[in-house]
Amino acid sequence: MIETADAIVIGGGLHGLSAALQLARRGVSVILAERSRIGRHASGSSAAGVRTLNRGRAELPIALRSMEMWHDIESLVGDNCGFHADGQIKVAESDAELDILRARVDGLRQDGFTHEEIIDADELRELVPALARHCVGGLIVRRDGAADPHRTLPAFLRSALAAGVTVHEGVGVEGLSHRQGTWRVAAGDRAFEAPLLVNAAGAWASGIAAMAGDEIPLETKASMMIVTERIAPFVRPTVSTVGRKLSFKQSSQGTLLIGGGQQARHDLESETTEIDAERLARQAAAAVAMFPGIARLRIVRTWAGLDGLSADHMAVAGLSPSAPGLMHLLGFSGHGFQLVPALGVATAELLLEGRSSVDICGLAPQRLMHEVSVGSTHALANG
Amino acid sequence: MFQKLKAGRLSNREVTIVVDGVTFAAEDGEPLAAVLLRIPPYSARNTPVSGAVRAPYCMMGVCFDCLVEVDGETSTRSCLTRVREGLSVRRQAGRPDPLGAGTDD
Amino acid sequence: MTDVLVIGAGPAGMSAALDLQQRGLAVTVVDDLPSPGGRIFAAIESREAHGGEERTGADLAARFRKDGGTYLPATEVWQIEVGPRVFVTQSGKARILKPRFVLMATGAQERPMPFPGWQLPGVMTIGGAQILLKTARQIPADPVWLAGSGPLLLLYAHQLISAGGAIAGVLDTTPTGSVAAAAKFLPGAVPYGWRDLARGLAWWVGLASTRTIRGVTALEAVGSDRLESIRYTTRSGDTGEVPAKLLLVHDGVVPSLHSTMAAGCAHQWNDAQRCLEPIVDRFGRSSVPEIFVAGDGATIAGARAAIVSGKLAAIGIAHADGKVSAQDAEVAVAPLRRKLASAARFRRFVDQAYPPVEMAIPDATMLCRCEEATAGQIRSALTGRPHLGADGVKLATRAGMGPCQGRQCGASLNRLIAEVHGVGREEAGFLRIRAPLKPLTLGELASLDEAS
Repeated sequence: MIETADAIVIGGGLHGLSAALQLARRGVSVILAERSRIGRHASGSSAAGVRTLNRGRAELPIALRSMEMWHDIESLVGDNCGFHADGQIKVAESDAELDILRARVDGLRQDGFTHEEIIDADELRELVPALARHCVGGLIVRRDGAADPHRTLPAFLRSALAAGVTVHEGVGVEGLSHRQGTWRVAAGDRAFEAPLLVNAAGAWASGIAAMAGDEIPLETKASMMIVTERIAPFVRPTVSTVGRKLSFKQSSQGTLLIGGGQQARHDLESETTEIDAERLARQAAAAVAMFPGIARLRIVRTWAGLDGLSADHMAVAGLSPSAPGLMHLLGFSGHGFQLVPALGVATAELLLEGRSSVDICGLAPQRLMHEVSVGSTHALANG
Repeated sequence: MFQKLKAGRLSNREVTIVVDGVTFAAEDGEPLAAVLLRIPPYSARNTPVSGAVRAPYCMMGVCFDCLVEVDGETSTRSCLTRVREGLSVRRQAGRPDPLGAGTDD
Repeated sequence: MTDVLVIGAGPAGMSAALDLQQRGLAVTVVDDLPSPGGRIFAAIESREAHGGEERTGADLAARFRKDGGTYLPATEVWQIEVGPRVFVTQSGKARILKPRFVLMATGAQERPMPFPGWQLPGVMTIGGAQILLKTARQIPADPVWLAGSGPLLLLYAHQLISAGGAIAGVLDTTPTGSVAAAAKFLPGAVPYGWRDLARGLAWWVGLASTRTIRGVTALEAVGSDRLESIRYTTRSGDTGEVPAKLLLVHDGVVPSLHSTMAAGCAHQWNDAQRCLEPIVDRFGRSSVPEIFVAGDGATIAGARAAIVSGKLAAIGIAHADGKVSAQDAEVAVAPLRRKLASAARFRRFVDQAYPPVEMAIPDATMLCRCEEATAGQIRSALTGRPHLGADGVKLATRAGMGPCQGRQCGASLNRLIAEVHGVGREEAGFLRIRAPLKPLTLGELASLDEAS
């Protein structure tokens, strides 16, 4: 039995849910196929930083649009997702590091981006009193913040279901074919057909892309996270640094979430990660160096998610240059959470109207692909 | 809630420890949780989730309900902590507060 | 330079360490307590040994001190990586140990027995009360209520009465007719366990005059911020409420799984004991070739069997290391295997006489004590989501996210998943166990970076 719809979304993480939601709200019938369970990998392991801070230039337009949506997320998905805009700050520990940040701000200003500002040591101390005293200043986006991943996922799922999306868990895609304007998706003894297809398969998305004839090279990002016991209010903004692999925030439950990009060992085939204790120790050392008061706090757990890592560490979002009716949403390189609301809209716009209201040309898959069909109408249609 | 047997001491050494500012006699080497179960209010902490009162439950380090602050180190399992002379203990009220001192309420 | 790292200085660990050292392997033993003996022989060096088994334990501890290799007390294992590389903390500092083999002898814990109000001060486990008796020489100040089923309940009742304590009553959850049903296993149990059987009978008789409510199927601990009364329901539909300040509960013991799970060992479901166990071969070798498992941490069989199991694993390690030929190993382990088989026959009788009860868990039960998540919230999260397992329901409800990392709620989560999804207990699965296995501080973890 073949199940048909107007659109099929492969991947039940936040990007898949967001795309499915926006398509469904535009009157499109959507089937979402998720191999395991909703939010199984990157979305369920996310630190849920909601930041425009320090993004690559090509990501900025869509990140800024997405930030507007975060500030009204409750009207989008019926829940505030625990979003709080206490700011995101990149801390400089030396004048040399502060100079790097100043140069970035100057470059952004020249291109018309004003969301990032430099703050001095006094303001830094005021905003993050627990920070180590040696820090000299920082880069801030005041309207950035963080959300609760475990509220965000259910909110997007509920909204997608309410919009009429058919969600299948435990359905892993094994094959794709395209004939006469219709995509056929094979998953075990099930098959799905639709004219439109979204590849939001996370760390496995290059495999899906390859099935459709697009070679988009992806590596794997398996960043480790440390969570501590619950403590009294300690820090409000989300803090990162110039010179260390560190990301630091406090959740609404009071736990400290310490990330920053130290990599776990991973295996895509078995969908598993293994914590690397020596790298984890470096992560803890960085956190203690920046926040000396936390040395005696207890670690409750560590984990690592699996995400796709693109060659230039920026998101890949755009229509396939070769295959019609296919949208790629992948390679989020560990920082896709904030882009979720706006990329869902961009996906629906590109698939249904051929252009997106926010320019995401810089995120097109072609930039990473070796072979692009010459004269493809879809390449021209991107954003 | 519990009381010492009159016969059969563990060790001959009686020591003094301080719990929430009050001095108590205890046996050198006994589990701290045992002392907490001998002195009112026979509890260890208020949870950081709801503030409910908890006391030692398993006595073997697998339930994490006996958490107290020992010599300034918060969230320490009192069942795995051995009493010694001068041990300074505070029952843990809610969430540890690294910006303040000990735990908040 | 350590050849073998033994995790746990209880009967299995001490026994294995002595045997391995004798065979010329360099052994390091780590244990989270400050003195040897594990839980069953806790503080055995500082107290009087009561009975043959305790005297064996005291003797073993003395020999272990002398010839058991390098002993690191008050040392906690928090991560096990491929290698094996074992990460420990000791006195606030983290270290890496790189043995060629690891023997896990981490013992057992009580099967979590959740019911409404079990988190109130005034409710404890019988095992916990027994540890208080052994390590602090203290007993309940008032007549105490005991609830549950199993030999440990009888043993503690006997120990408490012998020590001059009093029992207000027993709420017996043992299924009716189970002892009679076990009768056919009695002959097979006698060779190994006749002393235990005789003692058990004596303890049982000793409780004859104690107020006992049989066939209890439901319990509730009532009180605002501490236990004030216990409500119960019996199989025949009778209900009652008794005032109480202290309730001690027990529903059998299960292997402590966190170490073997974190190390990636495969596990299987033991239906007779209603628990997961690591899969081990005839030498105690797990599915990870460098990791062996002995004692109650492999399968529940008691302290005497743990001593034998430790020796068996020691021979297995020596053979794996090439120190003992296959033939010599088979000869050496033959009597040990016979002993363990005899212990297993005794165990079969005990399991039939005192099967795991696993009382029904009402929705109001605080299934996850750490994060205060209820059974109702968990059932609700599972309903309609057949692909949601333990890790998924953890993210949805926070159950399993707290400091105990599933030690008190993991088995119950497994039960509820099986119940709601209508699958077997093995299929229902268990939480993914991750580092740190013990709640080390950020400073302790960071100290590993300083050391390197």
